[in-house]
Amino acid sequence: MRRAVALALTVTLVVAARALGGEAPARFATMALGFILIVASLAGEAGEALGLPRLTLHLLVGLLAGPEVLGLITPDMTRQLQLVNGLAVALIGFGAGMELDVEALSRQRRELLRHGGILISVLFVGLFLVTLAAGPWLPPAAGMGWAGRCAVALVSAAVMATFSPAVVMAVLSETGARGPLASRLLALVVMGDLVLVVGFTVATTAAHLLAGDAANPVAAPAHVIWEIVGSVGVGLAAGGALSVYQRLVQRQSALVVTAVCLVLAEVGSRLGLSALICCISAGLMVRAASPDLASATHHLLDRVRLPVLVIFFAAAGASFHLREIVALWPFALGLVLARAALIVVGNALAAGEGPGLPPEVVRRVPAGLLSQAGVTLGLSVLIAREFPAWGPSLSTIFVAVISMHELVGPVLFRRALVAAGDPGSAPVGLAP
Amino acid sequence: MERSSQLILTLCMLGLLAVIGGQTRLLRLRRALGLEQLLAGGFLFLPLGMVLSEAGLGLLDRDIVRHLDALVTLGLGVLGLLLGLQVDPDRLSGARRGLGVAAALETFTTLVLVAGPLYFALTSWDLCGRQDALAASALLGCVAAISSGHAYRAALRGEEQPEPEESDVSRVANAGTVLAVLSAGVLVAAFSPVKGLGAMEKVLAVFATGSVGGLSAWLLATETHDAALRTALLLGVILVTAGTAAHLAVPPVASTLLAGMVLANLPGTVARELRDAISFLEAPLTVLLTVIAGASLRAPSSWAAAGLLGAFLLLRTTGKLLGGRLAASATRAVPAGLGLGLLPSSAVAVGLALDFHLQLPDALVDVVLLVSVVGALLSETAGVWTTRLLARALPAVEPAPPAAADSSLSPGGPG
Repeated sequence: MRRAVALALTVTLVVAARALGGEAPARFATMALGFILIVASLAGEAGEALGLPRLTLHLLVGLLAGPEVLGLITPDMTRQLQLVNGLAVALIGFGAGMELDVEALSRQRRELLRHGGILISVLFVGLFLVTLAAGPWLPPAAGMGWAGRCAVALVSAAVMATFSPAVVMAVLSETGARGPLASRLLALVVMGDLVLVVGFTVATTAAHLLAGDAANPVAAPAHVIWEIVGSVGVGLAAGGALSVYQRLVQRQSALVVTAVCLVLAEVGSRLGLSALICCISAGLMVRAASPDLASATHHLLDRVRLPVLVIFFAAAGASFHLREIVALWPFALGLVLARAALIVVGNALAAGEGPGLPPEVVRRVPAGLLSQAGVTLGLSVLIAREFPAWGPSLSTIFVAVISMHELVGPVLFRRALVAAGDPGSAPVGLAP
Repeated sequence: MERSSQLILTLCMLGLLAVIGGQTRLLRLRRALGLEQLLAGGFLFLPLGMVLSEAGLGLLDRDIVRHLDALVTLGLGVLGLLLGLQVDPDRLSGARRGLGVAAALETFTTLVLVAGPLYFALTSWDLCGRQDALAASALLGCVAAISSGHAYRAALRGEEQPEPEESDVSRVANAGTVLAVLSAGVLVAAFSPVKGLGAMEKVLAVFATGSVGGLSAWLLATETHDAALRTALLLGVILVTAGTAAHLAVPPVASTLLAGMVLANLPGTVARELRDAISFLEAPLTVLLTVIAGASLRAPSSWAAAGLLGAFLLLRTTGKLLGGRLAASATRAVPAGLGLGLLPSSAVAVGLALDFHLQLPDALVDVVLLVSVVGALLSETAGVWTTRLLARALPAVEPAPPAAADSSLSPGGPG
């Protein structure tokens, strides 16, 4: 009841200020940001009581407040809010790195590599074939020759085969899941992110060659090596420096970690590094240097992480392209269904090879891999830039697909975690 | 460099600076270098802001500063709220009788002594119109009236005297700062030349946003037990309160100060819990505000600015010393040399001037910011000696209990 009164007071204040205030968009943005933070936080908690993931409610609040519905968040503000993205992904990655128990995972490395290898291969090859077969009807590829269609299919497969580490880690963080399903999914999305770096670079280089563009095949491997090795190296160095700093000042500071994550995310991405890999490596290093310090830091980070994640997902919701979903829903839905089917098939094939997990856990793995978010969105923007002839229209379809995945994926994942009895179950792979 | 890259890199750098600058465990080094008092207000970061400015390295140019508006508003909001949270019944009942009157006498003496002559100077030197001069002189008066509650404490440490949890000098400084910010909420809001609401409506807006903000924070916090969610909701309320005030062209720091006062006087322990939840932001945000203020300074285009700065410093010093004497003779609750302990300024003064600058970006406001910021810096520097003089002159007091706050920038609040 008190929350409802507080919310009513806040709404009245914002509405009155909007009606009375002059034209000051920058200053209005601060008020809108606060309003979104309050509403999305409360909605997230209410959603949790209904068994929905908090982040789905944050997305919905962002969607409602966004430019295409209520217009409380303008397109310009949405762009400004994207600044939080790097920090959110970095905090998520750092938290995941601190939770990853490398020793436990290395004990299962064979099963894990087999599981991930089969699943990702089936997904990539299947998506390539589906997109190639749908070529004559797919807007960007219609009217193209075989080489052109192959290029579109390669790029589509590389983008659509990605997962969402951010969503998986955020759902695990909010549910506190520590069981075998959580452990396996965390490992699979990290693995998927590493494969993505290689797969996307190779696919875009091949697509350039197929489309007859000038491409430098030698530059691609160098780029991949730099991105993976550089990210791990920079992340480990930053994690090491952070550990030394914390030991020196004898204090765990959430703000120091946040600032380091921000620098890693933004400076790293400008150096061509993967922000996620950098931050996971930094988190791993902090944990390896001092597990006690890592545990305290993890706890302290909670109070910084929640507001950042609320704004991150609300901003993602505000960026939803409802018009594009409406216009392209048959293609988008087709891709969503094909991808889901391929994940299920890939997982079933991997299950036959002995994934090292109980069957009732293995069959719930696909639910955690359906989500797609920031990483895929970033790649679709890259595609639009790299292939100006057909990239923008392909990117629009991707955006529609991502929007669908973003809304449905977390809900299914949370339900799978609950069904698998993961929250509170015995830790395997994840730190206790 | 691409604008977005520049903005993000600047943000990264500011973030690191803020965090490292705000670390509380570097005390030994700061004491060894004799920088504790200057660092207390975050003022050493002003020159750093100047180095990063358009005229320096070019990282923090005017456009980038505009993009940091939300961060500045949040900073002002947090400082205001923490200041307002100090006005709680327990603290007030524990204070010696007459301190409130002493603080009011000292604050308003300084305010009137600075604002009056500066209004005369601004209009007679033809620096601006009457309306602008009213707003600018009111702002400078309020900025001048603000004192640092921490400076005297740091001086006691410097003199190796036992430090009380909160001395009478610090209490007067904090109470004076509250009164000065509230005065800014009334005077600067009423005289502000920003078009939109009328003078009375703007004053009402300060009180309305503050009251609604405080009440909303209390209502939300009493029904929320998860610490992380509480922090998120409180940050949301601060952003809404300060953002609404800024949108309506009234000082955000005054609105959130009122919100803090409302919150502190509502039942329960919510106010104390919320203060603990956000106090970790105080030091880094103070550093951010001072760096941004330093970067926003522009070299004066006429000698009038230098004249204004000289007048400001002279009038402020006179106001503090005279106000202190008046307070001492009227209440007998404070020493006659009180003004010496109140000379150091606080980050709130810089924040108040910075907000005015963001609302009205023109030549006059550049001069007002320059006078406010450089005035605060010079007062702070002079305050290193004046507070020590006072500390030596006054009898030693009982030491504080060991649980006393140890915040690097301003323990016990941003005053």
